[in-house]
Amino acid sequence: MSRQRVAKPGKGDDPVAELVGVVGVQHNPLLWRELARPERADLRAVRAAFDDVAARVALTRPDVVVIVTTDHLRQWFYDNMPTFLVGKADGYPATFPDESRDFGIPTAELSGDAEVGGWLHRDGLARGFDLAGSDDLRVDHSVMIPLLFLLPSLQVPIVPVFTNTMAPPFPSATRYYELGRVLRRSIESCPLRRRVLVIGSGHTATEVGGPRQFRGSPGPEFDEASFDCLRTGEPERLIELCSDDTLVSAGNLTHQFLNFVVAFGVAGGRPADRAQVVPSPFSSSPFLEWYADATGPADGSTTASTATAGASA
Amino acid sequence: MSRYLVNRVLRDVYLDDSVNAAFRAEPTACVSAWQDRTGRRLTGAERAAVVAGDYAALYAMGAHPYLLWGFCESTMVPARSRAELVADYREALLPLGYPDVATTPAPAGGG
Repeated sequence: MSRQRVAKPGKGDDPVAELVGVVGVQHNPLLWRELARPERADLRAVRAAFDDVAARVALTRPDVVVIVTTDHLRQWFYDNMPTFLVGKADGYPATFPDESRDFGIPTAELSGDAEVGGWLHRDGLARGFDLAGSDDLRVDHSVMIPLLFLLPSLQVPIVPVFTNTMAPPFPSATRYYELGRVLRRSIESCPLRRRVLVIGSGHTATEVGGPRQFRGSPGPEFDEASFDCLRTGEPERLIELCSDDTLVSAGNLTHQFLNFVVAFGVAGGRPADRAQVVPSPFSSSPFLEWYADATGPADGSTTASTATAGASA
Repeated sequence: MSRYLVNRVLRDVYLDDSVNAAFRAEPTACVSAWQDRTGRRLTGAERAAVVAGDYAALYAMGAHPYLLWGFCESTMVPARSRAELVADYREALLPLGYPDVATTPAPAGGG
């Protein structure tokens, strides 16, 4: 295939990109202010979990972050809604004026890795996955919140991969998992010398604008069942769990969980190295981690996240 | 009825600071100006519900809940306290369940 004839800037004939880790976190925009100086015990636990994951992410020394993310009807709307889209720009403005106004989220000019974005787009198409692409887009809090908590220097270039999880109708959960598998193959065959971290930016059971909003998890049973699949490495069971009806029953915006299904696909469906759900006043906060070496980044700090194990689903 | 147009006006009021300020000052004139600017017309019921900020009516029509909440919070707080709005919004929506929000609903009897 033609992509195998692409000149290799790295070593020999082998692809040189390396998938160093996959993590999954939530992106509630209210967290930006709430976690600045949290006083409630549950929010302190959320902040501590973010900090623990950030410390491990730093050890992976990523050159690029592929962030699987959801725009909230800001960049993409019903006039033109892509199902799956890869950003290919060398920079991404963030965020939107309403998010600075309402949530205090800082504006930023994030650098983009256009080479990796272009590769993921082209290689995904070659593998039969009909991705849309964009050279010019603005990213919202679903990119900024994970970056601000996990890679707060905002210096690592990104490639946003957008999934529609906001405007029905949606593809089946199988397609989100398949997207993850394709992304993994594309990263592993990428001839660019990069250490690639993948972040899934999503939610556990969550509701905004419905009668169950801001009252803790609207679907604790879903949270427990879905995270059990992620811990045990059962993609088929997770996909079965993620029917349209089950997701909506767990909260009107729970389709955003599907970005974790993508992350699970990138991780090859293997049991997460760490998977915890920390209760919070909005919806519960998920923290998922898979590292290239299943023992985690080699610094010996493998116990931090168990401090909140009692809160796990 | 057009869920698309309802979502579009809710989104413009929510996201665009100048439209948001105009709506807070004079909702009827803001929505009229929005119709003139876009060349699109809401139905009488849609227009009345948007102008009044009638969240139960808009929710029942199938407005996207994320846009609806953003529209309400960005236009009603702090004239109403956020806590009071959250509580009343919940009370108003509880009986309505989860209406279909697809802008092109599946045909009746369709798979």
